[in-house]
Amino acid sequence: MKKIVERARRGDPEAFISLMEANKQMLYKVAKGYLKQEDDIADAIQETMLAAFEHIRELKKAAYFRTWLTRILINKCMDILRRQQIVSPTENVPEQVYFNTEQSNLEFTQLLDLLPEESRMIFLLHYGERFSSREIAEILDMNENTVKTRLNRGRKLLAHKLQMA
Amino acid sequence: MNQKRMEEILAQNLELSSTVEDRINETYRQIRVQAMKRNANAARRVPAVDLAKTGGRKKVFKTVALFAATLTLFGCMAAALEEPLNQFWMSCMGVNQEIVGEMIVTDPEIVCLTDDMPLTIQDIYVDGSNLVFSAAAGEEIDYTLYAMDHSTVNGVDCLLYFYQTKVEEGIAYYQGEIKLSQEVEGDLLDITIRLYEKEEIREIRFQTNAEGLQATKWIPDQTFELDYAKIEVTGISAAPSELQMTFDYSFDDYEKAKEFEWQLLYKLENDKGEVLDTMYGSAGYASDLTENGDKWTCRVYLSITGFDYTSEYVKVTPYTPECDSEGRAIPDTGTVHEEKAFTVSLVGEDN
Repeated sequence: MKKIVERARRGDPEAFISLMEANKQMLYKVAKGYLKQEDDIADAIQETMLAAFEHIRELKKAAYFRTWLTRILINKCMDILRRQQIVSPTENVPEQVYFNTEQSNLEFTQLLDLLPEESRMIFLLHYGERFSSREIAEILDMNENTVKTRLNRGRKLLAHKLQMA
Repeated sequence: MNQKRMEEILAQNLELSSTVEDRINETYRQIRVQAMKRNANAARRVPAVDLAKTGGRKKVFKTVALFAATLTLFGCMAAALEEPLNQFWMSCMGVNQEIVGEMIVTDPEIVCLTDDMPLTIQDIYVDGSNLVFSAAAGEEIDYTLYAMDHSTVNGVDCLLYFYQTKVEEGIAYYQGEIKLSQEVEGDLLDITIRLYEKEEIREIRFQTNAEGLQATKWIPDQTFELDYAKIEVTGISAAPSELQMTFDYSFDDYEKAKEFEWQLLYKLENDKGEVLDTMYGSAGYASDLTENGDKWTCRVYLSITGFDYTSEYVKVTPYTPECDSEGRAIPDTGTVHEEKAFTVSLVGEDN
């Protein structure tokens, strides 16, 4: 993996594309955590890949690649959400529309909706993508202890919700 | 649903919608186009280096190193606009440029083992580290060819970098760069590359002479016990096209290890006193600082073009460069750690 990142840093497009292929599930799931429409998700992923290709030489260590890529994606998702608020400031974010009816996707999106909002992304990065608390803190630009607290609180809230259901 | 089930759902793969899949494929196409444009721009920036007019080897060395600094910003990816096995790739060869030039075979004898071969090999360069060829696509190929980044040479899996260098009068020209290893041996090189063609993969196979493999020195592993660390140097090879080795550092003291982590760059001195900076090549952590029992270890790999491969040794001196406001190292600045230098013999196994 590190050698591929190094080759991508040296400008090899095939190495970069193989990194994107290896990470596209992660990109899709994280973008789905923020955005509801598939077109918006596609925009966020595309903008992320192009920005990452443009700036990969600035990546200091290959080991940080996934953290760095995820952070770019989250910034792109936030940009899209901000743009949508500027265009329609009085409208709420549209209701969840399940364009993709695959069973696995349905369970995933339903679970995201069930998760407490403050810890939704933390859960996804921790359980879905196996990022450590420290990496999540870097990705979401928050204190590591906050990550741990929200993870813990989220687990309790989720258990309570499931019990109620 | 319990927590275990929740974790399973979050960790499972999702079915990407066709909207997203299509956009990702379109993005890959854009990335390939961008890379080609970048290569072409890089090649235009680099004037040809005329060895005869530079008046002295050291001057050539510095000039080429300066070019190489510009070039490596673009990943040392070659893109010929004018020459076979282009000037850009050649200028990365530094002081070995002349010997590399002599080793390029134009109109090589190629045994083609593929029916309807879409490429005509025009020039080929072989040493133990790299096999580089230029090729023209047949007139019937009216689309850009892309290749998988794994090729096979004499049954050994080897990384391939393959890209279009120019299109002239409707003919597209390509360059392929294959990284070889010591496992590749024999009198003939049997090469298979895999081209993406529409939605299929088309294998092409050809054979060429392996004489150039002899131009590489494979050097035994070496160990250095220094005050601050023990260094095991392995995978040492010196070829006209590239000097490669791996450093396995082992530290007793965490503080020394952490301090070292910021000294990634090296100055490499040959037996003529000429110095090349790894800022113009590639030195990177193959593994981060890791605790191993009572030791701290890390692995650094080094790969650089332009180091005099005939040198009997390379003196490796780490240094900490100064960085600009964007974190980029500034050439010829910083602190040189002379006390941490070590000298790797480049005398090959057969010497």
